[in-house]
Amino acid sequence: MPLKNTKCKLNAVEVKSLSFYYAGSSRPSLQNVNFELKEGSILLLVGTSGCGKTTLLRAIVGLIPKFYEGKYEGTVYLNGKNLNKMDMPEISQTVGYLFQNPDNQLFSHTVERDIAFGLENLGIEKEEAVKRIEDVIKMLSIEHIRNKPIYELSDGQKQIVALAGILVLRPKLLVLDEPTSLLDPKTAMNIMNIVKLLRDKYGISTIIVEHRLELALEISDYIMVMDNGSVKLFDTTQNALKNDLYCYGVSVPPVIQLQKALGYGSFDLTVKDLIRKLSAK
Amino acid sequence: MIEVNDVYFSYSDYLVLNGISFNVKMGEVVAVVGANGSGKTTLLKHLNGILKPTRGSVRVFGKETRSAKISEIARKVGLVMQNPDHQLFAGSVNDEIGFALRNFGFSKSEMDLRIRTVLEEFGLYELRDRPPLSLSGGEKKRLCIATVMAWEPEIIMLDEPTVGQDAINKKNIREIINRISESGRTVIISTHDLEFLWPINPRTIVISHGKLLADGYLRAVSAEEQTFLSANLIPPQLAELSSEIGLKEPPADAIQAAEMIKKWQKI
Amino acid sequence: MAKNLMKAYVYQERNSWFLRRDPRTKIMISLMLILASLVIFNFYRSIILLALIIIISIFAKIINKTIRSALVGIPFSAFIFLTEVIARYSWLFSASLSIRFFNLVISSSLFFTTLSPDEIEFITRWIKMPRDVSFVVVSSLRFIPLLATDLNQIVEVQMSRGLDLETRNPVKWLKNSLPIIIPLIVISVLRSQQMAEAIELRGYGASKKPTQLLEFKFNVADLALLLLIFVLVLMITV
Repeated sequence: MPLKNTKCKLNAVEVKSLSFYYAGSSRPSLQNVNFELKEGSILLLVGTSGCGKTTLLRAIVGLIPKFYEGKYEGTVYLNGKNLNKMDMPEISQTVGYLFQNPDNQLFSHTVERDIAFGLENLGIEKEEAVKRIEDVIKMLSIEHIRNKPIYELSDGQKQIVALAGILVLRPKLLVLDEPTSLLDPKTAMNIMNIVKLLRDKYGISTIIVEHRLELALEISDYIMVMDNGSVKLFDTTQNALKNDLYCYGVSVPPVIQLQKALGYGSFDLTVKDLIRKLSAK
Repeated sequence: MIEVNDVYFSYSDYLVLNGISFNVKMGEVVAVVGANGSGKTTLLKHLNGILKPTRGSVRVFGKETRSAKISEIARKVGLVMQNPDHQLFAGSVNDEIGFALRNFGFSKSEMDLRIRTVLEEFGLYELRDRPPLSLSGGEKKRLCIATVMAWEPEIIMLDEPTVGQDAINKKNIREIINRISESGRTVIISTHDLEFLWPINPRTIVISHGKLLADGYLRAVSAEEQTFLSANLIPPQLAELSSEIGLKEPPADAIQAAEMIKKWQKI
Repeated sequence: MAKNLMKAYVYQERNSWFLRRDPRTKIMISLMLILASLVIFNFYRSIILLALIIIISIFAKIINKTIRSALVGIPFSAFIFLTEVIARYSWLFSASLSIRFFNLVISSSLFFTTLSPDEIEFITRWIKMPRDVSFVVVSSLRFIPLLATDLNQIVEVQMSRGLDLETRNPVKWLKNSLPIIIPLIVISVLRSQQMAEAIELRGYGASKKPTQLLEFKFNVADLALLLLIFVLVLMITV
């Protein structure tokens, strides 16, 4: 897997004036969405249920308009290339989509076979395919479960295996739609740490949707708040937290709330960091 | 009211409950917390008779669950399961609520009254003729709770009610729990979302690998950092803060926490 | 009965020399036994075939699976036996029919329990079945246990709402099955929708020649085993 390249900084994703109405709906699911995500960064996407987060993610991976009919306006660029000009096989090697439900995205009997699934589909040459599978197994430290049947895995392990099956296609961008909803907090943190590792070591950008901010704040470079199909806020994590997010239905973790109550201008994202700072004073 | 006595439960050679004992009194709000696979859902299913213990006993209102029919116990102990898709099937929200009422033998006039009451209480009146499957995630969740409230069981159990819910829905669910508790009913919640429970501060039973690790009010239990770590749970942030600073009692909310920090800094 | 059916026909990991043979060997052996079950009419030969199947099961260390399938087969075989006897056929003839059926049941269970879904996938692709078919076969094998779990959970939820599934009245039972069937269908439809999206996003259908990473070696041991069983079956049949 190629390591992080700090030379040219293309935008991982650029969304320009994106609007979308699902077929038969008079209400827009996306209204004039504009944003750019720098390469090698993690974006936390938040907002109430139904605000358009999943619709936006579908538009970024091309499921909209390919799978979902409706009125589509605007453009999505992935690594500078227009999404409309890409077919699904190309998209699958540019961006990966992790679904909420671990079971619905694993099809084979064993872990190794499922990781191989995408490579076989694309007709990747055998030697290259075997190498990539070994790389990904090492990257995610799943050597010990490589031959296990998928029904024996825990939900957390299933999500990691699903991620492996995506990473093996070498996308530069990952889109995770509430990947940890069904996991308990510790397992969820595991996934977050993997996402952080992928950014730090391999320069992979990620857009992650998560309601429990206390799990995702630490790894996020940017926060984007959506409401009613439009972007209300897009900023670095620190700047975004300065705003009142509650009016958008987003609940901020206690450690941030209390720093706001103390009138702080910048925030420590974990309790340990905060105490360390306060003790040092 | 509920007596769980040294209960063991095995599923396919796998020991899920490993000798659990506790009692629940009328009107309590009890949270059963643990990581995934700790046995919390299995425990809840023992309390309405769906599962029977391999060893030990569960008594609900003095009657052994082993010797009672599930529908008998279910009449008194309602369970709202985690996934609405496992339950919703009727043609309309009205019929969905009426399903359990019909099963439990309520008269038509009783049914109409109860359905009406519950539709209004849960803000579902406008949706009453809509097919349940067309509702949003939060609406489906409210509907599932409403279907159970309709037959007014004395005990209401919620299995992981906050999974996948946004902040507004979570706040609504907390309010529903408060309302149910204020009406004198017993509420039992199984969850791993400790931040959600923090404002409620319920009696909390911590479970890990089918064993009971702690039983006390959430804020008191949180004082023992080891408990949550052994249970593979992440302690609530205000509990972590309080133990880092060395407070005797964790703050109830962020505002209180800010006051405590100011005091602590002066020392 | 349902539990026996699941355990008899769903693949579970086991280890034995037999199971480590090439899948092509194993499928040919299963097919030979199934065919023999169908073709042999003589009661005594059927008994010998039954003995052979049992010996193979013991050798392959899957005898408890075979016993499970036997438990499924016995009620049906007994039923066949009784109906034939009532219809005035001779005891021997009735017995030969029922044991023929019984052999069919346990040899078909052998088919499923000796082949893992990966091996079944390998065979479907080796005989050049279209990828779509082989994919459907493998993913069905993956999702059947999930469906069973979902079914269980749905039954638990609906029973918590007072649903009575113990009624003897067939009309009532059918009506009471709706709250079980509808959520099951909904979940399955939602699942297949998500699956369709997920496989597209992993490049399904991109290449006309998908790579085949599965490899098995058919060696001398396989040939020897195959010939041995073939000769034995032939001797019993002819």
